[in-house]
Amino acid sequence: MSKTGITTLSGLLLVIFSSIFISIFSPGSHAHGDEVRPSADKPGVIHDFVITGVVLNSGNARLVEQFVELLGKHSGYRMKARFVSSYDDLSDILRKQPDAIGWTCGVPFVQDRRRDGQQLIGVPLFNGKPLYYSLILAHRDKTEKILSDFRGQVLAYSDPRSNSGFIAPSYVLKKQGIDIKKHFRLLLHTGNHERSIRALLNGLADVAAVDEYVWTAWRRNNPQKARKLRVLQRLGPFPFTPVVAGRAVAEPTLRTLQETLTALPDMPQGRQLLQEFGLDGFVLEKPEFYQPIENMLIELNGLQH
Amino acid sequence: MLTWIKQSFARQTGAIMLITGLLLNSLYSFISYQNETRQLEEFIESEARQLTEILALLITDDLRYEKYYDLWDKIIRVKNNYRQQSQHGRLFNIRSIAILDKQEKIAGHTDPQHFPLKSDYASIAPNNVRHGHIFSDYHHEWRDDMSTLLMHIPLRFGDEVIGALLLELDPSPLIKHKKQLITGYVIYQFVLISIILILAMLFAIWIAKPVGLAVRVLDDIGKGNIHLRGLTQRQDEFGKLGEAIEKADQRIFHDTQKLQQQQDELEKNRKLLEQRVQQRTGELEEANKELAAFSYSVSHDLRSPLRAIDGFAQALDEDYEEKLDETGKNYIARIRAGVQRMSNLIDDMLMLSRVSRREIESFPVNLSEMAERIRRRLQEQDPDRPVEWNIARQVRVEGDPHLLEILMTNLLDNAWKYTGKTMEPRIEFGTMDEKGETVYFVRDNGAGFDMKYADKLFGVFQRLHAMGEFEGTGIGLATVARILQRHGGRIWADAQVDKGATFYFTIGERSR
Repeated sequence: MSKTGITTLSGLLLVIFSSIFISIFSPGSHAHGDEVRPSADKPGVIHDFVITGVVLNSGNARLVEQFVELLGKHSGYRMKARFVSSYDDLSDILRKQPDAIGWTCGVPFVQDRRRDGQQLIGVPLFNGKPLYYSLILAHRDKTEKILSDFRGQVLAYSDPRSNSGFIAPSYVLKKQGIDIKKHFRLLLHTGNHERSIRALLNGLADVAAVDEYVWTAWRRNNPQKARKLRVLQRLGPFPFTPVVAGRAVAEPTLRTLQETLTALPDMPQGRQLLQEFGLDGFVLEKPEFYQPIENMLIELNGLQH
Repeated sequence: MLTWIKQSFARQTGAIMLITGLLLNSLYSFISYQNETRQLEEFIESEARQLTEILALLITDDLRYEKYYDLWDKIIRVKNNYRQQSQHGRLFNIRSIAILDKQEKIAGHTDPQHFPLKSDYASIAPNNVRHGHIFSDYHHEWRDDMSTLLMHIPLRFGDEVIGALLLELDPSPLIKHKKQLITGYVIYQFVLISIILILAMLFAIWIAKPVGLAVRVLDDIGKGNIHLRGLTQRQDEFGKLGEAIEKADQRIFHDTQKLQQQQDELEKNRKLLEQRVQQRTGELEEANKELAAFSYSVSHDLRSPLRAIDGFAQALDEDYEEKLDETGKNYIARIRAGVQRMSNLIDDMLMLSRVSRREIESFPVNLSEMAERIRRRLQEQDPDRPVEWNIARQVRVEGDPHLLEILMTNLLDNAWKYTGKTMEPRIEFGTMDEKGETVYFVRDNGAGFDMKYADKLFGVFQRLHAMGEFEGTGIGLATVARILQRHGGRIWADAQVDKGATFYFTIGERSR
């Protein structure tokens, strides 16, 4: 191989390598605007339906889009799905765009309702109830029995404002007199529940707190990998992740949306979507339904975010 | 094989071409291989550095903001994707990627099972990755006989060093590539050797044809047939060689004729000379025989009147003792002494005569034992003489034992005699090597002699000392010289007055 040959090959490899990096790590879908749009229930306006990966499994984008489209079509409130990577982003968008709709978690809802006047639309029914658990997962080889046994190890969690991922385990440990931030060698922020599961599988984390709903769906799709993990504890039950509206969404729109959500099991497409989501339907609850979460936050001094 | 090559000039030429070609080609291949592998290594180092720097850019923010999952996610993807790429022509694989924070704790590793997050890296790090060193600057090093390329680079956020990135690369594709290079060179060598071999053979055949022709022509000349065949028809050096052979042949023919004439003449002269020599030798032998017979008969015949003289002188001395005065008695004593001397002379002359005439009978002889016997005899004759003897042991020769006994007796008797007036006398018999020839010697520290008379030493009746000083007939050394002459040997002496003499002798071819 001549010197020129090596130089040419080197250049070619650099281009290929750079392309790989760009393709893997380009920000693309994570970009979002920061400007505040006027909150209005105006005809012709397309509203954001904000959703985070903390709530759902990956690969559900198409399903979410169909769900949002169906909801808009039947409620007359036109929407498009917008994916964000954290509850902070979701809260931020609903604060700046109060006409937006979102599928959030109990903790950010309690906090944002208090601060931004978020409104509750409906709560999904999972296993027939608007409730779910936070599961403490670990590798099957681990001998520890409960979360507190993992002292000095690595805890994976999806989001610091995730009820199942962080608040519930924090609360349970606090009840045992343990400060979650001091108990573990590292609190590994993964971004979503699926990544917490992956962190366990790859040995990155020793224990993880994961949403029961996400785990159920993931286990269904990955039965082989799921066998390597074990549920050590079930924390809860807690009020399930709610569909919410910004403060500017008008009462009639809210009602229409509620009617549409609750009527989904009666629609063929709605039934199909619910089945694919692994949900039984939506129910209407009062905001006080989330009082248990609010109580936990008060104990953890985390009500004000 | 070597003999087979030596038998043919063409083969030698071919072998030289082949060996030269091989040596030059091997040298060229070796240098090329070294250059290529060095270039490959440099290429890998350059590639690895680019990879390290890009990775560093990619993960610095994650490290800074403690997004350890994102950081791990990136490095594991880079490792997996790079491995996939490496199957299509990469020269190395990524064995592992490690990210350390400022405290040298693991902030990310492609093998988190063995390198858990936030665990202490120092205890599981590769050898010689020194604390602090990894935060200083970019560094790379080859390890484990080039089976590992380790690189590290500090991770900077602004001006602050917030950690380090360590890459362990597996350059096995390089090794594979090296093996391919070697295989390529081997094939190249084989092809080249084949070409050189064919060329060498062609050249050998091309050069062998006229050389072979020249050899056949010369061979024919050797057998007496001059057939220059096609050699002189050639335009090249071989044609000139043919012409030169032709000229040389004419010259040789002319010279040979001349030489033949000279040889015939020489042969004629040689035969003439030989006849003359034979004639002279015959005359000399006849004269010698007559002389010896005369000498013997004279010596023998002289004994009778000499005995009569001595007998009557004795009778006169005994029977007329009272009538003779002192002068008369003195005369008688002097007559008898003269008779004794003459008797001795006759004995010695007879001895010389016998030595000259005797047929040599050769046997192994131990000269050391002979010398020892003579020493004992001399010492018994005069036990009071404190002579220091030094006789070499086991000196053996081939020769006539009787003559050699006479030789040794003469030489040792002389030594004994001429040390008669010496304080602390010493007599030595030994051998020495002179230019590959064994030389025997008898040495004493006696009266010696003046070397200017050395040429007279071995003549008959030659004496270097007065009769009153040392007795003798002057025939002994002549007899010794004759014995050695008969054995094909020679004798010479070295001496200094009053300091002794050494007689050296050789005993011909058989003495070696």
